[in-house]
Amino acid sequence: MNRCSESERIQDWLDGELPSASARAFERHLDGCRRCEAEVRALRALYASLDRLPVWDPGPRLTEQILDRTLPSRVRHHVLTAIGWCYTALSAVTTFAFISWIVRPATHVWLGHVVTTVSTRLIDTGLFTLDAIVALALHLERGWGLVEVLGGWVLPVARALAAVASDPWIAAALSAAALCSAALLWWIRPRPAHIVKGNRHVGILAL
Amino acid sequence: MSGEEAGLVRRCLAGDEKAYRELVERYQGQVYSLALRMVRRAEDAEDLTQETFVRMFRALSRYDPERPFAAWLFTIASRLCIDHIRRRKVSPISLTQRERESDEEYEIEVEDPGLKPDEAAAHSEESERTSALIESLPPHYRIVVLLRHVQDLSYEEIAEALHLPLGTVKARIHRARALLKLRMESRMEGETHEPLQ
Repeated sequence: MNRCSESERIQDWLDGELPSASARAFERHLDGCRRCEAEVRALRALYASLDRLPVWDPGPRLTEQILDRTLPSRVRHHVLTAIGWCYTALSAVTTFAFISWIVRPATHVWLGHVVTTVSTRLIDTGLFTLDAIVALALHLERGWGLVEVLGGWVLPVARALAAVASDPWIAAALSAAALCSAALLWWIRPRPAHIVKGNRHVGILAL
Repeated sequence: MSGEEAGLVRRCLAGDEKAYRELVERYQGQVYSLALRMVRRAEDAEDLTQETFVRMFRALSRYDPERPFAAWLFTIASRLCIDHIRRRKVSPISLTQRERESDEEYEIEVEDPGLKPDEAAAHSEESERTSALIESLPPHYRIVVLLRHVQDLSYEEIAEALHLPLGTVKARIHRARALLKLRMESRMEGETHEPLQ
């Protein structure tokens, strides 16, 4: 059957894409054209079939597979499991390699050499340290004179200060100054944060 | 996007795992159906459905809530299906035919639909016939028909999803429908449709 020249507009008309004037003109044409009318019927049947196509449900198994790959908690779990398996595999391989290496005769010889060398070095180091301590003690014994010289310089100053402090007023003033300093240090000590009258107080030293 | 979908997306972005499940359960059937009709193998369709959701969740923070959520999701699914068809190594009997009244060449790929007998038995006779007709279309016609009629996307959304000019989308949909109508009429007249001749 030959197609009508107007049949090009059928799909646009069915989709509602034709401007209203063109749609009305096409509808007038449709009233008198059996070929276009048949084509419209066939296309409507096709549209209906397409619109009735079912949606298939893949089932809960696929849901779980998707969630396994997307849920943050499951992804974290998978990553941790993978790390655990990698660690286990690495440990097994390392242990196997170490055991394989240590049971070799050549390894025994090499290890013996290493142990001997290390032991010798350790003993040498210990003896050197002991010698150094003894030498230091001997030098200190000879060095007490230096301490006496230093004492000779410090002692007059200490005696002069003691003489001044022996006056009751000066002693009281010095004691008051010491107490004030102690109180100031106590006040500016670092302490846990807490709210004092709406201000966050953490102590000056903690700033 | 509906308020319910917007809420689901917001909850997903906040890390609510119940919302992830709701979103998957709501759309997996539609995505799977689209993929199965495109690639015609249940295993491949499942893989593509999974990949679609994985990519969707990864890109969710960049999703524009002004766009319809379903259209955005089917955009991801369509692109994956098309890429899959391009990559897939099958040995289809390929013919290049020049479509009647058209300058556009297209390739018809014919292969075993791959649907299992129990899956096929579950569908009604009419749906089977229509599905078979759709499967006989070349992929670039099949995807536009499915997005238009099954997923109910507008021409503009299809054009955006497939990165095609609007005119091309309209032309392809019209040609696809014309082909389907011809084949449907051939079947109704009892003729055996042989696309390879």
